[in-house]
Amino acid sequence: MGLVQGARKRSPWILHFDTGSCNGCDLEVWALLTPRYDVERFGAVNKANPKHADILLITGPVTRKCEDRLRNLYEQTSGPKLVVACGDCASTGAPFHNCYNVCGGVDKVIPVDVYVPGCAARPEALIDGLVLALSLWEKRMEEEG
Amino acid sequence: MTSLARATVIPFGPQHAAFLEPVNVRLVLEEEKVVGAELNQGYNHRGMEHALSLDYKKSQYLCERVCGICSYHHSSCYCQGMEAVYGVEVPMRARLIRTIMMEYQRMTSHLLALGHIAEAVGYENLFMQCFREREFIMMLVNRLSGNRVHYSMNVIGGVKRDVGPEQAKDVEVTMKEVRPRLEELQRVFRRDSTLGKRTHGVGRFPRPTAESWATVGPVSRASGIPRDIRQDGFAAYSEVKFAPIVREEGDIYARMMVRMDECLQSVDIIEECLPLLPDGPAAVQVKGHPTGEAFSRVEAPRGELMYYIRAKGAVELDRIKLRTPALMNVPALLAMLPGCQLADVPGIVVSVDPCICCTDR
Amino acid sequence: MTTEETQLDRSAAVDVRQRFKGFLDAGSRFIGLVVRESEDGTFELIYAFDQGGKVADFRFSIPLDQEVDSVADLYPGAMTAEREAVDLFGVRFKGVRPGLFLVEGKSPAEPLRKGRAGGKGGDVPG
Repeated sequence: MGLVQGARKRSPWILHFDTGSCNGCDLEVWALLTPRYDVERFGAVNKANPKHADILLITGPVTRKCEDRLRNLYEQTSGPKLVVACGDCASTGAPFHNCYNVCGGVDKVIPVDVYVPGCAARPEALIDGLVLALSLWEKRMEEEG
Repeated sequence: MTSLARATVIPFGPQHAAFLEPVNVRLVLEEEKVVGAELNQGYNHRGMEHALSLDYKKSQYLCERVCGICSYHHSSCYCQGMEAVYGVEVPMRARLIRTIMMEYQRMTSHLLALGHIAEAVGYENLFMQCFREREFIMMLVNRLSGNRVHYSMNVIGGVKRDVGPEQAKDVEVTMKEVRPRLEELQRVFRRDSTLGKRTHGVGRFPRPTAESWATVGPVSRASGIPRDIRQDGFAAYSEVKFAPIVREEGDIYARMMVRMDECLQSVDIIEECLPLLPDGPAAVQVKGHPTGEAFSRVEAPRGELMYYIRAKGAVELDRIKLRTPALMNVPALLAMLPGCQLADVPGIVVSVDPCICCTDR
Repeated sequence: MTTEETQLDRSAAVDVRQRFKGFLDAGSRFIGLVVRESEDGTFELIYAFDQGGKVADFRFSIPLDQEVDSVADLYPGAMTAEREAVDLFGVRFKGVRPGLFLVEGKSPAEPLRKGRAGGKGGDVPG
């Protein structure tokens, strides 16, 4: 692994986007960034700019109005990028999968790499998902060279 | 005409560092001054009113998913409404447990809002501190209900998870521990000079404007309107003594301090409720599909939450309407934003505690 | 529905500003507007107010195509409630435009009307 890759691996920046969630998972994502769970120890910092981000944390079922925004954000993120669907709603649409204004899970709109279950997804599970995403990310960086 | 020609439009959101949720504010600027604002919402519209009307029994589960910050208030309000339709009297024990859990959720919600305001004005340290104290309550709630966000403790007719003697002791001990921490936090919010400079006199919302925009909760109490639905005595609030916390300034500082003081008031209310817990059942059974209509109201962290329920003697409900507090508070931004500086916009928007999943449903 | 009733309803829809103002002048606070589609093909509009800690309301039914006077200029707090009714039910409020929650062309139109929403929605296990 080269110097650049090693450095990148230690600073996976996060972009959090709520596509129609009930806020439960959003709060848990925020709890990750705060003292008790503190994912900054993995180098993860929440960045609002998709061009700075490496890992997208998406919460909530995708509503019709958010669909294009989500696709737009995904396209703006530079590679190698990973998408983590946080919670049941983001993974499958869960209780909202049949609602009239909902497209379904995040994977109906953009490709998803890691699914974190739970309603709301617990911070421990989210950390687990993030660590899994990091190992996938490493693999992808190697593939890309 | 020259000033008009220089007007620029800046979109804020739907994905923005200052917002937890997707909302879009279209700002019209002259230099740094905001001269106009337009709200564009609906990013979170899932169609909850339709979904909740399909099966009133499943809605006990689903109504918590309207909003994760005030989930317990939603389910309490729904169950309270359905109990009114059934015409059953809920046992005192269940009402007290609901009151205690609602106050916990108010604390977690207010601490989130306070941290969010601190972050929006650039005080990240305080944001972290708010969340640190918040975790204490989240963990206690987890021990009581088995979940951190959606407590799932309510059923129509009472609560399905009782608070045992050891848990009551746990509540007592934790409250003793949390109180000094909150007081310390209150001291910082009250006294910190940098925070004061960003919040005093910013985002003015005088009382007459607040009345005409029908704002509710801390936003209106910070503008001098002494209105708190808890005084009407739903759940067990008729058993406890408290006075609504009101401030006159109507700026970000007032909205912040109302929330901060209410956190400590919640500790008082919980401590007052604990010794009142009577023995006996925590729920009554309800039978059959009900018919009738009811308005149900609770004071959620953001203000008055109303459910209108009309049941028609079947599994489906004829109509269920949610009037969430954020639906009234978020449009009030249109009155607060014009005249402010661009740099103050995130602080003002966050100070009304916009809960978009409540607003859009 | 008889013609007479329709006549009455049409006047009620115009009367709404007067009645709304009456409630406000009596010191009530507007809570919200509930719209409901009745079985007989009319909209029932319920304006709910807080009157000294109790919910008071005035309500009337109108034909589906009836235009209703907007109260948003009297009371800006009612604006969102009216826009919501326009969006979700297609109630015709004078001078109120749709597009609060729904995206044209993507979301179903007037989803809360009977039989419009499609899908079952909110399917919960158990």
